[in-house]
Amino acid sequence: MNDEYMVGMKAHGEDAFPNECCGFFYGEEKDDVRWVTIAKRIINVKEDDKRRRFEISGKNYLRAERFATQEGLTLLGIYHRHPLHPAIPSKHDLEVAMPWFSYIILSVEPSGVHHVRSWQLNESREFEEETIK
Amino acid sequence: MATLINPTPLRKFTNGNAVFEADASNVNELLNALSSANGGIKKHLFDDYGKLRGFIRFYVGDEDINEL
Repeated sequence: MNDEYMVGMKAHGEDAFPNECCGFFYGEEKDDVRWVTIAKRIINVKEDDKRRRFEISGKNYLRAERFATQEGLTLLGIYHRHPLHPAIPSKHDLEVAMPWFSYIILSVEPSGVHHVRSWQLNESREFEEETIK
Repeated sequence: MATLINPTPLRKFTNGNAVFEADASNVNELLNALSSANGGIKKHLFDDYGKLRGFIRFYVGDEDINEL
């Protein structure tokens, strides 16, 4: 992942603290390696409990798919953060997860982002960790 | 003939194709056709009780038709 986008995701996570934040990232996949070239913030539309949950509106998802098509990129996944919790998918994350996508989770403390980990569903709809470089 | 634009995460089940076409007169028939034609996709569309997963939305153009 380009450092610029990792810095952007971390800044987003710190700006939104103590609420959850989220965004999409785009790029390409080649030989099972995903290259992130763009990350874009989106609005967490969760109406209650924004500290523990995030929700992406259908319209924002539709826009993300169209943006990827227009730019000739692949929509690779979604990042979000866990305020005061580890960068491990929650039960809710699992319930709303889609196959193939990478889910980058940032663990954020008052002092800043502590851990960044990425996860992907396997064929049994269980999360497996991906390596971030 | 109904045409479905697959979201990116489901294209792994359609050989990378974004477009799926089937003879279907409603969304249920289209989903059934999609599930039959692409093994493995069903469990990501429906939960263990056969209910459509809550985060799946359908659009015709820009109109969200999940509430119809």
